[in-house]
Amino acid sequence: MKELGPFSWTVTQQQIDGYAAAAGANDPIHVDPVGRARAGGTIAQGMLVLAVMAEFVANSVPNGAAWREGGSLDVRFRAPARPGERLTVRAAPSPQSDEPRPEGCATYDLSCENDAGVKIIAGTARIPLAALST
Amino acid sequence: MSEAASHPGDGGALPELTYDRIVVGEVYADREIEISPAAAASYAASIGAKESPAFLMAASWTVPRVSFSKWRVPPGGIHARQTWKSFRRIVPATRVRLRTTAKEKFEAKSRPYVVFESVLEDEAGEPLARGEMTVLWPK
Repeated sequence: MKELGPFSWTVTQQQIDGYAAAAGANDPIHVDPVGRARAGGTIAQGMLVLAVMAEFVANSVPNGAAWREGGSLDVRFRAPARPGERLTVRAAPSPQSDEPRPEGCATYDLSCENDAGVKIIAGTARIPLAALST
Repeated sequence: MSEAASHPGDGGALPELTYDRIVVGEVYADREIEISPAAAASYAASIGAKESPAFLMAASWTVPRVSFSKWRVPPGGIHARQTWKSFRRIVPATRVRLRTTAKEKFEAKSRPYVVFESVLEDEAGEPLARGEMTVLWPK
């Protein structure tokens, strides 16, 4: 098994606003740059960043459909992401991958960090073996 | 899907869901959602997904301030941990049922946390996905 990615993108207020409209996650902490100016500005929805990470997995494996139908995630939100930050997602086979593979999955360490090296989200993805084969 | 965007957790006339009021085992969201192709496409576009519906679309519906329609969920909660397991892909133009239950409450370093478990089923009651969301509850 090989490392997936990396994949980088820049979070924008436009993307945060678009996600807020689509997912209903329109807490002022995300969508009120003026009101949040004294608090350092808005932050991206954690589920927005995680959703991009999940799509990164889908796009990085040979059979993304198998990931969508049987994949799983277990992550912790470590730090907020702010508009203008460039984030990078990586997924590498976890040392746990050598252990018995429950449900025919391979375990990957999945992480997202900013250019300063701050981990935004980190955890594991269990990717169905069917997703990793062509 | 449109109900997901209505942000019911903001309802001013509803009782505030404080940490002390949360009861382990109680169901806080139980609703049917029609997955419109347009809503699925809108969600996919917002995260740059190449295919719709996106992997975590249904997980976005489990956020307390989005889905707890009988309570006013105070702002300021911090999403601490998320698990999500997909059993089958959700299909646009179908209806699904989402139930969210308080699974656990605990304090760590004097901070109150709540774990909510969400189960997504199709119209036949077959599981589509399951997840847990741990929230540092706002005071």
